[in-house]
Amino acid sequence: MSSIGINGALYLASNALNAQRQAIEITGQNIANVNTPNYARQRANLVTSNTIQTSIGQEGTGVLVQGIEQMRNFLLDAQVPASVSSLSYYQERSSLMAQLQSGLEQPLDRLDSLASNTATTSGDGGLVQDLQNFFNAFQSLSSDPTSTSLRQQVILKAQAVASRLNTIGDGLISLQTQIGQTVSQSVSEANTSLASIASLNKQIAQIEVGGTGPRANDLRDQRQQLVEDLSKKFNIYTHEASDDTMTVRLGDSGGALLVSGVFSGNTASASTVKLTVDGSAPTMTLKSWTGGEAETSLNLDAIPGQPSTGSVAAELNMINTVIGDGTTGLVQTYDRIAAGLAGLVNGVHQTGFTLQNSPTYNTAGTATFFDNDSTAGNALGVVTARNIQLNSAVAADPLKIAASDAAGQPLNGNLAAALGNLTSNTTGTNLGGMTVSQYYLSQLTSLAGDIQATTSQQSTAQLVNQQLTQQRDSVQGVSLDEETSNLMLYQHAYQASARLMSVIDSMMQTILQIQ
Amino acid sequence: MRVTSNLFPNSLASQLQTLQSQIADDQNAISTGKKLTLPSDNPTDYRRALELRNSQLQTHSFLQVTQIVQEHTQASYTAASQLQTLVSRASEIATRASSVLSSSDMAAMAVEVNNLLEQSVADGNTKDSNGQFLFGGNYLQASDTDPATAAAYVPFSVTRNASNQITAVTYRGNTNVTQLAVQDGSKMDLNQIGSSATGTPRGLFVNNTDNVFTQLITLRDSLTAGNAPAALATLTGLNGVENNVATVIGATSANLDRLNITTQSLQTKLQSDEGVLSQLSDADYASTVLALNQKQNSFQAALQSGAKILNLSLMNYLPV
Repeated sequence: MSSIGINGALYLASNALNAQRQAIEITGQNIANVNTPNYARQRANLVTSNTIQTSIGQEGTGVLVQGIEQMRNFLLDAQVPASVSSLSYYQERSSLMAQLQSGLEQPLDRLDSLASNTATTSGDGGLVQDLQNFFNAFQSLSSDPTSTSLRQQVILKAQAVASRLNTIGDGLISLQTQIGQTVSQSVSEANTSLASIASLNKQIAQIEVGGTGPRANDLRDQRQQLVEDLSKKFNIYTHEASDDTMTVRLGDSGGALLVSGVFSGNTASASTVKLTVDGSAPTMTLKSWTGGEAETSLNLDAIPGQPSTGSVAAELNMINTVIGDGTTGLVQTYDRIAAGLAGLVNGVHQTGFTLQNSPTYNTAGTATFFDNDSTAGNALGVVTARNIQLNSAVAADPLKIAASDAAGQPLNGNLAAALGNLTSNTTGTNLGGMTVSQYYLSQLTSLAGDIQATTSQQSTAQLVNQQLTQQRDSVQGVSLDEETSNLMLYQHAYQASARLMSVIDSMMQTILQIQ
Repeated sequence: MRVTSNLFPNSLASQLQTLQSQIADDQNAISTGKKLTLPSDNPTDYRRALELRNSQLQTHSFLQVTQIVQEHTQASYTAASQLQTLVSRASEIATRASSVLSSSDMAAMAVEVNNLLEQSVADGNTKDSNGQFLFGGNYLQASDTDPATAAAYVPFSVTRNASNQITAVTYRGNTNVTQLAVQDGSKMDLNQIGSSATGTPRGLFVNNTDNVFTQLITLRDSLTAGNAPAALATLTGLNGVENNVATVIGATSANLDRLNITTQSLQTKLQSDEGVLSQLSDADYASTVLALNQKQNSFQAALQSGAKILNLSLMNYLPV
């Protein structure tokens, strides 16, 4: 048998031109997507085309592009979303904690002058200073119980404490509500992403046909990006099935099924569930919904012993545990401070006598120096940080402050002194055997320690994520230098193929010129 | 490791972000003078700093109270000193009283003693800087009407005869002493009692049987009546009064000394707390500026190296 012949050689050159052009196109695709997030570089798989048995032996017929290969490491693809999820948790927690910290309004300002006998500061000293100024105002009143200006000072300082607690209490609830809205938004976006993954599963399965068709590289990139976006919100588990679809679960391999094949949400024909949020701040729960009435609570810490991951877990933790309600968290802390302070002050104040009813001075102090009701004289209800206020009758009349511990003694400041001494009283209800200030500072220190730990954990998570991302990028990332050298390589091969074609053309011309 | 095109810019961005954050922290510390701005900067130090600042506020309050106690004690001391002079003069007059003096001399001495009596009552009704009576205990305010007399309240109310001379002085105040905290666990008396029937607490004008008013009235009346022996006999009572006043002066003087020591102690505590607070919360300029310079150098080096590396590309060497 003869060789492939001159036509065969022309065909070979033509194939080579096509193959090099396709390789250049793929290189161009890589260069174009150098900055596309989650893009995995592609490579033309060049193989020799069929060989032909000739009289001189096996002769090749040139080159062809067998396929376009995407450079991916599936192990890293699975590890990166987990690290993204962990980083996202600490980033969100750190951010929310920072908001919380600034909302607690506890700066550290210095006193104006040490020489001055007046205890003033140039700036805001936060709750701890408000409390001390309040008790100091009573101490000052004890030295001159008939002084209207000192009584007015007591009123102002008491109102400052109450107002500060109101502001912080309202701020906590406001932040809690805002975070709740973020959770709802995140869950809604997650359901959309899950639906998109299911849709991409369908397209990928149709193209790849169980591995027999071409790889749907770009669709896979999109799916991976969606998985990583989803991982920012939740800790998810993914698994690629034999039909090229991706299964997505919450938490681990036993978690709630979010995407299965081409299905997501509460699709009637699949066991996948839709994510919903149950309740509102201060108690929100993530639940799965399969339609109808049935809802199941989902545990975001699905992997035992593993730290929580995903921004939604951080947000729910912030709502339910860190901020909490009247029985837990910071809301409870500030409610205890308000109730503890009111209990201590009211308990002493009602045993004293006011500066009213001259010259008998036998009017007892109100039992509700601090109350939660604008109507003076009503029974004291539950005092909280949000509702504590100075008794309106006392606020309107400084003479109603009880400073004397005996009737008929207007110049007696013993009760005011006792009220001032409450600064070191450790018998307040639910204050753990601490003074009001000590309890507040211990809770503040605990929160600050938590913030510090979260910042440190965020740095660690950032480092892990950075290393994994770099490792993955070393596999799938585009190197412009590499692509440029490939470009030159394929360009030269293209030029050589064209030259080959030109030579064959010349040969054919020669043959055709034979007379 | 295979290096991709985005590795350098991504790493550079991350490194620059970290350095910028550190530079911002140092710059904030230098511009504000504080190394602690948030509780999470250093929870333990922040708490300690807040406790110290609270302690300073309380010390300020103690200083304020101490100053008020000092003012009251000084006023009591001044009044007691005046009373001592007054009683000494009365004793001198009583000593001079003898039968050799003419009745007009005795009458003139009686007039002087009457003036001393008026003055002693006025001293007993001295008011403090807040307008309240200094020696009335913690009874009524100066602006009140006394229920017993239906007249304006004074601690020492007088009864006068037809000649408008004081014939009796009644104490309307009470014997309550206000004690104020001037330091942690330390209290001091704010007021000196004017009159004490039992001697506990000690009264300045009347203490048990030592009654300056009674002695002066008796002396005046004896001199008016020309009864020199009776006038001389008041000397014993006046000596008792003088001793009582001297005791009060001694105690008041000791209190003033103690208050001075307390003031110094509080100011020392304030300074000491300020020193510790400064160590905890103030930025150390030298080390902070040094750290800032180091980070600026790192930042500059990162920018320069980044700019050099990012400029290099094989694209630059492709034939056009």
